[in-house]
Amino acid sequence: MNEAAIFAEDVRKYYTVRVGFRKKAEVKAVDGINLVVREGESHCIVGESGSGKTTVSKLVLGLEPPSSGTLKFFGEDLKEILVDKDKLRNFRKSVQAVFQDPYSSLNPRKTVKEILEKPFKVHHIEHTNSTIEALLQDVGMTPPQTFLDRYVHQISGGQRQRVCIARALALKPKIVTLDEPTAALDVTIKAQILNLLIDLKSKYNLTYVIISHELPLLKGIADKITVMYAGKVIEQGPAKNIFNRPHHPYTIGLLESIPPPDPKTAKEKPLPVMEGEPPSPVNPPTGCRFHTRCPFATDICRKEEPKLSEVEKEHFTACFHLRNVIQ
Amino acid sequence: MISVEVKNGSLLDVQNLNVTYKSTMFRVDAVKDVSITMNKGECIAIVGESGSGKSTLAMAVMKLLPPYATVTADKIMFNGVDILKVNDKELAKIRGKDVTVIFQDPISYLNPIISVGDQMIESLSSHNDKITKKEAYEQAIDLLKKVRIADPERILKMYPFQLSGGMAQRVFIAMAVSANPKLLIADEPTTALDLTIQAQILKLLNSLRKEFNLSIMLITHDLGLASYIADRIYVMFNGKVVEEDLAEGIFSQPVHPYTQMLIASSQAIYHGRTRELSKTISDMGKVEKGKKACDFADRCAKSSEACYNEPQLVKYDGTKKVRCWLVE
Repeated sequence: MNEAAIFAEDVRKYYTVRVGFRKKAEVKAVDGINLVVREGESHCIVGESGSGKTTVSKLVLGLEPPSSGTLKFFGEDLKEILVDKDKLRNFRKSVQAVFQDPYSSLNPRKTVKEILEKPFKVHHIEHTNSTIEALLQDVGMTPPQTFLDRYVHQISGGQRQRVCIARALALKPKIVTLDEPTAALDVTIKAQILNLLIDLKSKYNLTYVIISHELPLLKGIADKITVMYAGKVIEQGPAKNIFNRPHHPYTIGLLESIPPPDPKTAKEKPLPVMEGEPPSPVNPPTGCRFHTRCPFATDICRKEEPKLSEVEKEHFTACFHLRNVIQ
Repeated sequence: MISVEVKNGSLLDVQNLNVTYKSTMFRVDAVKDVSITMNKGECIAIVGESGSGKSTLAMAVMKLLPPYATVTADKIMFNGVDILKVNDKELAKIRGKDVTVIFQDPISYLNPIISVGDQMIESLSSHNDKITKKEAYEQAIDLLKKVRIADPERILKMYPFQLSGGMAQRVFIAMAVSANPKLLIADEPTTALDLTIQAQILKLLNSLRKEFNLSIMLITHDLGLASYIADRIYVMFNGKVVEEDLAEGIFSQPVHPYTQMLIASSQAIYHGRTRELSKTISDMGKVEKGKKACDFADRCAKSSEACYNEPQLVKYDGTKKVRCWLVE
């Protein structure tokens, strides 16, 4: 089997924060996760705010080294990459990012052309006008010539996100992380960008790591899904399984709490509500971190931490009460 | 659910509202020729994408816009009061008492250096001169219980930055319903919240509606929220209402191409079927903007010669009104 594009084993990331005047506390943003992303896969990481999903994206981009654990890219350890200048340069080229807000991730003083030339200049790679035009063409901005000299404020939100995607693709990366790529966009544009991402993935042979809190959005694009809760992975598996047969009570609740865009179903089926709020990562609950909100919680959940166990092929869930939940 | 057919009086009647933002540099017509009516106890949703003027519309109704906004209308009647004619003093009595607003980002609308309790007491006393501080405190506890906060005493001692987003929105809603308002304007109330918290807030709004016989004007871009809560829906595009109908009618028989596109996109996303969306849905535009008079023409798959002239909002059938040449 080929080396995985991203391989993470027991990766942890703790941040130290000040609490009050002198006291310090540790935020366990990511607390021991395992992740295998194969080449060409799109792996989605889902969770609420504070679940550690954005920290995972920072780790995957190599922007922050993990506090402990192993993180490998195509078999190479991130620790070794970070100390070797040439390797790091290469790594930066092959792992690119698209962020949530296309308004703040593009320089307002530069034209579209200047923005897209930048990656080539940074890495001293030859490029011509037609390279840039081809990029614009690929992200569906046609005819490309009309966009080259425009400034960011002269194009729409959807077009800005297209430019961000083009910039990420400029150097033919292997891995692209997308942190809430459509959260700031209007509904009609969301669907367009999603379709564009699906097309580009096969065209450029990309591996995606998509961070999102909107589960349904991922139905069309995800191969694998990792559901995070308070720094822990609570469910992981093929996207189809997660959507059709979720096992963890949190995943089930998350899927049900989205109101369907249709008044008939919305008014017939009352929205099931998961009570409570996600716990603070500074002081997470003992045992299973979800027990404070879980309708199935018993004593064992408060004392012991459930381990991920395989419930179906390649589908893992961390819960003591799988049988009760599914019934 | 309170049916629309029950004639229990008009609460809000806005006719031909226009809002223009002006400065020396630019002029933006944010809301054009919008008419909205609401009955008592009714819940309407105003849906549209960013920049469609939906928030401006809601704020204009209560004259809450900054000085550089010019508001003109044939009529803004709220609960029998002509909002266009009342002076600031009388308007201040209506605002915060009969009409309250909740926002997307509640924490930034709460005073950061005053405890939640003191803020609630202040807002309770401002509409009731006779209330003592102790009574106001008791009432604040009651209100927080009504918005399903389990330990109100603890929350009242906290400062806004110590609250989570969901908790802050609950506090804000409690303050909003404290004076028994007739109309609650909810401007994207759950956009900043997590999905599970969004569901909680939605459910809360729905139950408060019955409890307080509240009318809600929901401003949102999310058709899921609108379907959950609204009796009627106004779809806005570029400052104009392009379609209005009962919520069921908007979804079962969308007529305006923009409404169709909006519903198709949301449902495709919800069901994970964006690949099946027609290719004609595009954010790119086929022709230059500004040339055509129908604002949607350059993104519309069905645009034709007729679209060079501006369509009017016309009655389609029973409850539906549409602004498109295709229906005339």
